[in-house]
This record gives sequence, structure tokens and C-alpha cells, in this order.
Amino acid sequence: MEINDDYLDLKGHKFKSRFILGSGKYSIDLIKAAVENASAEIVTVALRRANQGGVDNIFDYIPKDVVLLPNTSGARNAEEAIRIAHLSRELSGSDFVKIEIMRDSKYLLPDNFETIKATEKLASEGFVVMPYMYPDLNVARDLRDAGAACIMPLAAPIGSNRGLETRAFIKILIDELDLPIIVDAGIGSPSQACQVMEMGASAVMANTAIATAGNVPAMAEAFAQAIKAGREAYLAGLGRIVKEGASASSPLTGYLRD
Amino acid sequence: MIKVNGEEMEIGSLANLKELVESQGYNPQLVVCEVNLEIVSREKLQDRGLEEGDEIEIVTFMQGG
Repeated sequence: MEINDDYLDLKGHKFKSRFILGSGKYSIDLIKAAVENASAEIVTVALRRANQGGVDNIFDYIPKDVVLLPNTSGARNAEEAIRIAHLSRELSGSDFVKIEIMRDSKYLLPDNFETIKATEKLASEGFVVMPYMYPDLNVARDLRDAGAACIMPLAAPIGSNRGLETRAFIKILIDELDLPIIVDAGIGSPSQACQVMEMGASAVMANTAIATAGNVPAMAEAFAQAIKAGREAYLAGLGRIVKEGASASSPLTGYLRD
Repeated sequence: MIKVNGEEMEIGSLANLKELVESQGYNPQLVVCEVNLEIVSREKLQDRGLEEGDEIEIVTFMQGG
């Protein structure tokens, strides 16, 4: 595939950028610079009760051409996620939703079963459903059959910056599913983002790694470059690995000796 | 008595949902309202009167991942 025709395709919505940026946990003033440096076309937001007295209007800080991806954080089951998705659609005016359903507050691991139920309902209502999930092949197939636009397996628990703890299982999803695999949660550094892209992931979503960096906009840019490099390496096709010994890169003849 | 974002309050002189939203300091363009688990679209805020026992959620987007 030529790099110029290379798009992330979510139910027919095409994106040049393969970096989905979270907007949480950093100064709201930095969102615009982070989005620009990340070249992000999709940015996540969360739906909450409005604060009395009013807070900063997040719409003022996110560039207008960016697609808002509301998440269903706070939902403990499918029913709550569906309710949040409906409210979010009314507010964003777009059909994109990231399903996030958690019952566990220590590890914040997603509830795969409830996620399938919510995906089925919301996809049938025309949402572009992007489910956050624990990387399990059977669940991923169920999510695909339920109408998900992509699968968003976690690399490590949310906000941990621990990297590719589920690497082998994400690889199975990439190999077996004909649907974009967007690695979400736990990616802590650009090198890890690059690695999942080299493996064939379709995109990376990151928030905490950028939010907790020394320089937020600079880290957003570093991630963007790493994701781009990883994608290009994947498209180029990685060189083979020699399991034992070595393989000379220079001619084995013509040495200056007898 | 009605419940707004989990807090009880009196309807008082508020005639409709739009007045409630504005009285709470929110810009109706930046929030979505749900009454008794049903979404009330922005255009309909003015038409929805307040009734005793209504449970109202006024929500907006915040930063999140």
C-alpha cells in the first residue's frame, strides 16, 4: 500500500492520523497545542454532570476540525454506557463513541461482556462504536459481529504507562481480525507506540503518557512521529530475524588477506 | 421538589427547563438535559415545564481519555 493512500477507516470515516489523543489530566490550555503537535484528528472527552458556576468550555479549546470521541467512562454496565452514549451524541452531534465499562476500580479493567451488549445496541442505532476491551480473541470476534467499528484492546491498565503487557494477545487480534485494532491504555512511551504500529496495529490511543510528560505538547509530537514511523515500518515489511548466529551485511570475499 | 444533578431543589418561579438551566449558570448550547432518563433536545428546553418529582441531569463534556 502506498503511504499516501493509507487511511484509518472507521465505518467509512477516513483519517490520515493514526494517533487518537486523550484530553484528560493536563492543563486545558495545552489541549490545542497537544492536538496540533500530535496531528490528531480524533480527541476523546468524557461526559459528566455540569459543575455549578460553570467551568471552562472544552469546545473552546479543541480545534473545530477535530472529531470528538466521547467515552462512556463512569459506566458500570451496558445500560449506563448506552445512556451516556445517547447524551454524548446529543451534545457532540456526532455518532462516534468509545465504550468504556468498568466494575473494577483497582485495575480499571473493562467488562468485556457488558461491552459486547452495549456495542450491539449502539451499533444498531448507527453509532460508530469503538469498544475498549481486554484483549480476548473470542470477545473481539463478538464485538466485530456486534457491529464495532474497531477493537480497542488495552496494552496495560489505564494510566499505568507500563507498556505492552498484553503484547502477545494484541498480536493475535491483529492477525485474526479484519477490523482496525487500536491499542488503548497503558502505552507509556513513543517507542512502545512505535512497536505496536510495527506489529500492525491500526492506531494508538494515548493520554496519560502525554499528560504526565515533562512537556505535554513536545511529547504529543514525539508520539506522533513514533506512530508514523511504526506505521511506515509495518507497510515496508520488517526484515527477517535470524534465530541463531549472524548474517554478514558485507561481502564475505575480497578480504585484504591470503 | 425536583432533583437537579443529584441535589434537591424547589421549582419556585422557574417556568421550564430552559429557565432552570440558565438559573444554574449554564449556557444551554453547551449542555444536554435529561429528565427522568429522557433526553430533552436543546430546541425543546423551553417547552418542557417542570413537575414535582422530576429528576434532571444537566451534563457536559469534560477532559477525559
